[in-house]
Formats: sequence, C-alpha cells, structure tokens
Amino acid sequence: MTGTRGRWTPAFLAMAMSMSAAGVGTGCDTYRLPSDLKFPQILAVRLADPQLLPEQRTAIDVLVTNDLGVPSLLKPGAVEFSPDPATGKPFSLPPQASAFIEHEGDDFFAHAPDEATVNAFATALGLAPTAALKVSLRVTVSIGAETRRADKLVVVLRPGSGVVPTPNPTIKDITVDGQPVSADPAAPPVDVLIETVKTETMPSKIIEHTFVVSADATAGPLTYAWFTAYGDVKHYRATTAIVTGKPTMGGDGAALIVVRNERGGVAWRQFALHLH
Amino acid sequence: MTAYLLTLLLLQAPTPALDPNSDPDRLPDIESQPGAPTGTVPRKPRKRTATVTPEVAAPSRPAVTGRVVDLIRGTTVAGAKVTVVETGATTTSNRQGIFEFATLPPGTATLRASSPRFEALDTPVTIGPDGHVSELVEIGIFDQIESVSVTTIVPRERPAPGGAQISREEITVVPGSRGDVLSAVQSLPGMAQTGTFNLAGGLVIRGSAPSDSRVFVDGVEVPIIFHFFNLQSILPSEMIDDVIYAPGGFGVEYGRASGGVVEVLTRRPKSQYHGTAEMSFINAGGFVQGPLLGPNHAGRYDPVFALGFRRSFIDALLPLALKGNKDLSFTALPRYYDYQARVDWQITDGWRLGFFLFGIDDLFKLTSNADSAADPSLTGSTFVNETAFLRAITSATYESERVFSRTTASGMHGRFIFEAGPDRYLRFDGPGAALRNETRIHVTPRLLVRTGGEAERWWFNSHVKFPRPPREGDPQNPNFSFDKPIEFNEEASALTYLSLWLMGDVDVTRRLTIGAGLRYDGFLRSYDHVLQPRGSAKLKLTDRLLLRAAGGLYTRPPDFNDEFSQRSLDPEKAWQTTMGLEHKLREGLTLQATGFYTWRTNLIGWKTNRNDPGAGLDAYDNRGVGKTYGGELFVRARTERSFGWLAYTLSRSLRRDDPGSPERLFDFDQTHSLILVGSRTFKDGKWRLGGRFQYTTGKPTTPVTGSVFQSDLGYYQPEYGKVNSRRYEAQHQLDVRVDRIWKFQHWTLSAYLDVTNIYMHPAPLQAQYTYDYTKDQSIKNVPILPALGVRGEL
Repeated sequence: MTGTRGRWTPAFLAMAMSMSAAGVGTGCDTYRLPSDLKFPQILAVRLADPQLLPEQRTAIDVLVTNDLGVPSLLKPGAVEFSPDPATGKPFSLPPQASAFIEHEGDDFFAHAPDEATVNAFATALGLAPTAALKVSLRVTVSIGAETRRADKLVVVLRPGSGVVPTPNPTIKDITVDGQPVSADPAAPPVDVLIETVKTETMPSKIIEHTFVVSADATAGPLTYAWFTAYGDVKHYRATTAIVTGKPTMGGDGAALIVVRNERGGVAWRQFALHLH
Repeated sequence: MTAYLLTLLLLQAPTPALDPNSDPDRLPDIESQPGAPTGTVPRKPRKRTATVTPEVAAPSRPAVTGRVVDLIRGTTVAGAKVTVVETGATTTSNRQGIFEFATLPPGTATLRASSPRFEALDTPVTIGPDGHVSELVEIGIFDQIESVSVTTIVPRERPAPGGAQISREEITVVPGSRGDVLSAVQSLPGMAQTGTFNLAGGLVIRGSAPSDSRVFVDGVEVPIIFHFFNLQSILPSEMIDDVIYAPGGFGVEYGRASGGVVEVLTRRPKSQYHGTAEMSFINAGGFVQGPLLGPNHAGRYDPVFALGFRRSFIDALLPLALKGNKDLSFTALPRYYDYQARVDWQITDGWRLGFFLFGIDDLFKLTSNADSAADPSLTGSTFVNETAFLRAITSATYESERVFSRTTASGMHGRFIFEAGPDRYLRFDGPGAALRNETRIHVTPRLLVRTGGEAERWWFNSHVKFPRPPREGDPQNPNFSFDKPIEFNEEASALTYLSLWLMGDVDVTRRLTIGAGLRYDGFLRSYDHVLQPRGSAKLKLTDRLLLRAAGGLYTRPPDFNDEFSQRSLDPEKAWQTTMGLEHKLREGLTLQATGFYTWRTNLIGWKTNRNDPGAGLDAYDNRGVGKTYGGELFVRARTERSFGWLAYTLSRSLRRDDPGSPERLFDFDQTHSLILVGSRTFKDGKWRLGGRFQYTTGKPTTPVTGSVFQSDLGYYQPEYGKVNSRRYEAQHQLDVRVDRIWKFQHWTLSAYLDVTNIYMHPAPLQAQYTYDYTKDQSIKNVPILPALGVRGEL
C-alpha cells in the first residue's frame, strides 16, 4: 500500500467522525425530529403508476402535513409543478417537460408524451436506446404561510426495453404495542396509554410504545418513515419504531407510515391514536 | 542507478582540496556557521581545518585561543573539556566558551572538545613556526542526545527561503504537542491550523490541499504520519533525528508533491545502553538502544541497535468518556500500536549500513445507534477502520567531505480497511518495493551536484464499493444511503513511479550562489511523464543578512483517493516562487521574513457533479486552477534557560473549478495564523513551564440556502450558496505545559502535564444541520484536552 491508498485514511476518518457526530446530533433535543408531524412539510409524492409508458396517464398525489399534525392530500391551486430548475442535475429536462403535468378537477395527472417525443428527449440527453427517460419535477406547495418544495422523478419506460412496470408497494399490517391497526380510515383510534411510573430508584419513567409495520416489496428493498403528532420517535426509518410520549399529553393525534421502494413506488397509511 | 554508478566513479577520483581558504573568493555558507545545519548529514558536523597564518607573536600571547560552539543552538558552550590529542594537555572552556593553550609545539595538532552532553569532536589545527595559531579556533560540537533540528529548508545544502531550525530540547516540550515532534511541527509558519483532531485529514501547507503534500521517512513515503484522530505521530520522538519541513521551493530530491514536504530522518542509535519508558493517558511505550553485540563492542565501528514500541490507552479511557451514551458504542475500542527496530553499522569512516523496520496497527469499530435523517443507512451501522503497515528500509550510505550518497531499498506491506455498514467498503492490501539513490557531490569547491533516482512499484488488491469521497471545494458530504457508490475490484493492480533528478549549485561569487536543476517524474499508471525545472539563489548581503529565493515546477500524480482509478487524468501542477530574508539580529535572536506565490493548474475536480450517474469511473477532469500568495514571519529567541518563537503567516489561497468559473476561497484558506511559543526552566532545570497561543482566521464554509425534499428517497437535499463565501469564527486557544524533572544517580524521572486549549474556547470546526437544513449548529473543537505523562530514562 502506498501513500496513495493510505491517503484514503485521513480523509475518510475525518468524514466518519463528522458523520458520527452528525448522527449523535440528530438525536439532540434542541432540534425538531424528522418524524414530527406537527410541522408543515411535504411527506410524499406518489404516482398511481410509478413508471409510465409513452402516452400513459396516471394520477399524482401530494401528501403534506401542517402545524396541527394533520396529514392531507393537496388540491390543485396549492401545488405548482415545474421541471427541476437545478442545473447540473443528472435528470434535468427542458421546460417543455412541464407539459407532462395535467390537472382535472381535484386531481393531478402525469401524462407521458408519445413515443417520438420520448425518443427525442432521450436522444437530446444522450441516453441509450433502451434507457428510461427520467423527468425530475419540482413540486412547490404552500402550507399556511410556509412554502415547501420537493423533487419527484417521473420515469417513462422505453418500448422494447424489456423493463416491466412495477406497482407501488403495499402496506400489509401495522401494530402498536402488538395491537393491530385497522386499514379502514374510519376505524376508531388506537388507544395509547401514557403513564408515569415512579419508584424510589426510578423517579420517573416514560413508557415506550412499539410501532411495527410490514409491507410487500414489489421492487427491491423498502425504506420506511414513521411520523407522529406526539412524542418522540426513535428508529423512525425502521420497520419497528419506538415512540415515547410525555405524561402531559392527551387527546387524539395522528400517526403515519410512508413506505418507498427503489423504483419510485410509494405507499402510506395514516391512523389515529387516542392518548390517555 | 546512474547516480549510483556516478558516485562509485567519483569515489575513485582523487579528492580535491576542500579547505575553504583554498579559494579566496569563498566564504563559508551561513549554514555551516554555528546554529545552522551543516553538511550532507545534518546531525554530523564536518571536520574543520583551522586557518593558520604565521605571524610574530607577542611573548604573553597563548599558542591557541579558541571557542567551543554548539552547532545546533548557535551558542557557546561553557565547561567543555578541550584536549590536545597528541600531548594530552587539557583545558576547559570558560563561561564564554573560550579556551586557551599557552604553548604547543609547531606542526599539526588535534584539538578534541567534549562535554557530558556533547559528542567529542576532533578539530585539526596547524601551529605556525612561531608557535602560535593566529586566528581564533572555533570548535563546533553537537549534542548527540538532545538535539534534533526541524528545518524549513531545502535539504541538505541549500536552504530555501523560510529556513529555520529548532532543537529537540525545544520541539519536544512545545505545549499542546504532548511531546510529539511531528505534532509540534504544526506550530511552524506556513502550516494551517486544522483543529486538534485535524478534520482536514492531512497537512495543509501554504494554501495547498492535504493531497498535495507528502511525508517521507528516510526518503521513502509512508501512508500516514499520525495515528487516528491525530493524537500521536507514528514514530516516537526518540527515533527521530531531523524533521525537514519544506513548505515550498524545495529541491529536486523531492517529488510527487505540489504543496510541501515533510521528511523525517531517523536517528542513529547511540553506542551506550540507554532506555526510556513513558506512560501518558494516550499511550505507553518503551525505547532501548545500545551496542548490538554487547557492552564490549561499543566502539565507533560496532553495530548499534534501537527498539521502540508503543500502545495506545484510548480503549481503556473511552468507555468512561462515553458512559451513558446510548447512541454510540464501540464493538472494538480504538487502539493503536507502533513499533520500530533499527540497526546501524559504521563499517568504515565513509561507509555506513542501516536497517530500519517500523510499522503501525490501528483499529476501531464504532456502532452508531442514533437516527441519521440525512443518511438513514448509517443508523445502526458499524464503522470499521483498520490501518496497518510494515515497512523495512535498508540503506547503504557513503559520506566523505566531497560526497554524500545514500542508497535505500525498501519494502512494505500494507492493509487499509474502511467499512460503513455491511455494503459500503474500501479494502486495500498489498506489497510494494522501492529503490532510491540520493547523491550530493562537491565536484569543485564552487560546484555542488545533487543527483539521484527512484523507482517504486506497488501491487495491491482493491475492493471498493463506496460513495465518492469528499473533494476540496465541494460542500456536499458523501451520502452512504443515496449516493451511487463507485465500485471496482482489482487484483494485483500496479502503481509504478519513476524519478530522476539532477541539480547544480554554483558559488558564482563569494556572496552569490545559484542553483538550477531538473526533475523527471514518470507516473506510469496514468501514462504521464513530467519534467520539472527548479532553481534557487542565495545572496549573502552581510554577515548577518541573507537573501534567498527558490522556485520551479512541482507536480503530484492523480492518486488521491479514487483518482487512480481514472487513468486519463493528468498530474496537478504548481509553479512555486518564494523569496526570503534571514537576519541574525543578535546572539540567540533571529528573524526570517518570507514571501511566496504559487500558481496552480490542472487541478482535479468534478467533471459534472458527485452524483452524475453517467460518470462511472470517469468522474474527474483537470480544469481547475488556483493561486496562493502570502508572507511568513518567524522570530526565534533563545537564552540559556528559555526559548520561544513567533510564527505568523498571512496568506490567501484561491481556486477556480474551471477557468471560466468565478474565483473562490480554498477550503482551508487562513488569512491569519499566529503562533506564539514560550518555555522557560526554573530551579536549576527541575521545573519547566511553557505556553503556546494560537490564533487563526476561521475556516471558510459554504452556506446552505435552502433544501428540497427528495420524494423518492425521503430525505432533504441541501441547496448551497456561493462556495466558501462565509467563515466560521476565528479559532484561538492557549496550551500550557509543565514539566518536572528528578535526577537520580543512574536515572532520570520526569513528569509532565500538557493541557490543550486550557481556557476551553469552543472553536467551531464544521457545521451540522438538522434533517431539513433549516437550522444548524457547529461541531466544536475539543474544549480541553489534558495529557499527563511520566517518563523514566536510564
């Protein structure tokens, strides 16, 4: 090994230290946690069909939350779609790409152009004949007084590429402390008990609640993101999250799990918690 | 090989007279004056021939009057015993270092100066027919045990601007360095301050990137000079003879560096048994040296040995520091070893053989249980870093008054592993070999020729699946979850370097010396061949004032991090110019002022951006340019009981990522860097108290102006403002060191307390953002780092 390869050492050690410190810092109480549902933000952008064929049209849902911790789908008028304006990004497209987005009534649609147009774009971008055309769209939304932005990749498959479109993942089961959560949005909220345990050796202890999700992987490995309108979530990117509340809390609150696969597929399920 | 053959030929040639006085125009170089490095081997002074001018002596005039001088410190030596070898007559130097012999027979005599702390040295003198030596005889002696020089010079004969020299006694007690010589080097001018843990990942010298500077041990490169976290260098101070720090304008002997170089010259063991044992909160170690074949074989021509070993203590202390922290756990606590073995054998007056084996073994495994929003795959991941190498260097050195030639053959086996989770890894291992010759020849008293060559080849297995590593000027940190990793697997790949150099230094007049040379580097993996012209000039304005200048072309091959995987890259180039003034204000007080300007081209940067999926292994190009300019001031003072220095650097380092892009600050640009060091002994040397103050301009940083949620990946992508358009607040700290020494009949015990950043200034080193980049706080420098050590010496 020469100094050449040895030079990986200090650079990556410095990076590792930095990342370790950042990882610790994420759990710092000073800052809001990424699982906090009571903060205006875009939670997910979903295409009903994650990959499109030329001329195919599919619905787009934009899921957001607000400072009350109530997730909702946005209506047209609150959303602006545009080609990703960031220069140097690998998937940027010319302004004509905004024509991919249509809205009718309360719904948005992504509408892939015809094959000739797709091929023309692909040629302009220097893509291989069978490579999918990937259109990066910038979603800009207004949530109260806040403006939030998100990027969503619209993938248009090339005919003859042999690539089969894959659906969005499916959430199978959710449990809270072993208690199944109904998939019915009208189902009653899940009871979550908040209590304080006091002993001589342990003056105060906060109960931990275990949230577990399972889902069908339709395209590669899945990633997860838990959100709740109360308490702190540990391991919020895992299938099993630990939620801790505070004794002063009470009432109802929302919880949400978002599941993603590697091909742009998205699924979510929201459920209500009753805190007492 | 050419240089080696040339050396052998010249060894057969008759030796011309080297008496400086044989050339009436020649004045001794300032380097050969007391207090400066001399000769081809810096630690060993040349024998001197005293000037003899017959004249009629007054009846009361002594036959010889002389002065004993410490060549390292430039001070006179009181109490030195001076002996006339032929007659056995002895005398002792007085408080001014002066000695006299009242009568001596005409002819040649040998004066031998010795002192308990110094090595005996012979100086021949010629007594005139009148029984006297007309001029003051100066005997230079070296402190074999205690002195080490740290020189910012072009080794070894012709210093570049910015030259300086610091004794071992000073450098090992610089506060904040914990007795580590190489850590203390970072207190010299031109060296950027990068925090206690050195997040730069290397040495930042005169506005150059860490990748631009190289570190050598006895002429061969080593992978790293510090163990992890920058706590300790890989060689104990006992093994180090000289540290040559050349921030720029260095000679043709050094290559593959477009910034600066640091060369560690290891120390020849003593011929008396000697040992030390040391324990601090960082590590514990031992060192022994002496005659290899036993106490009855302790002569000049008997082989000598040295052994050293250290092991860190961090694995014992870290659990205490992290007690109660559920977010971090070490599956293998960080620890390091280093070890050294050396044998030297002075075969004849001219020839010396050496063997030096050294190595390290560093390991840590860290598991982070904290949620990482920006890089979720790191949650629960284990970081593994293992760095180990074993290097053996054999050397044959010939040294005479005219010729210095050292040939080294070295071999190494190394292993480097870095893993972040189960699916991101860097794994390298393999052997290497190198052959090097370095020769300096005084062809005539006015002409010094420096020549040499080097061939290196490394075979390695590499297995990489990792995000692109961080690059200078790119504010975005690599992302283990979302960056597409680079992947390559090569078995028995090879890196080959070839070098040849030739340089001549001519004394044009008695005051002016000019050097010119050429270095060839062949970087065969990337098919590059580079010729680098270099030159130097030295003008002696007065006996105390010296003007120096140096410059030339310096290149480094495309071999930093993953660059070597892209063979189409060209070497980076730097045209360096530097000029300096050295002024000896009075005994023990020197001032050096140096200016420098460097123009850089062919800098390697992103062809498009870090995550360009089309880049593959072809992600970089050579479009970057840059420049660095500034000045350095180095003032040193030394008295019998104290020493200190002021090192101030004013500099500006700029880059353009391509010729058409706007100019920006270099990542580690530091406008001001001020270091003040002072140390003094008390109570007959039983106590020593020292302090070091440092002030540096804050590091440039790129502000985050916003962020965009990446819906398909579930994380926020930051948006950056102008690169390096802001700075962190200035960094300043005070380090304090107290030493206590107890001397017993046969051994010495010393203890020290070395406290870094004693007033706990929390200097910010790096920004840390919330998951959506709406808020940030800084990763701070260590608030305080106390080091307590005990050392016994036989």
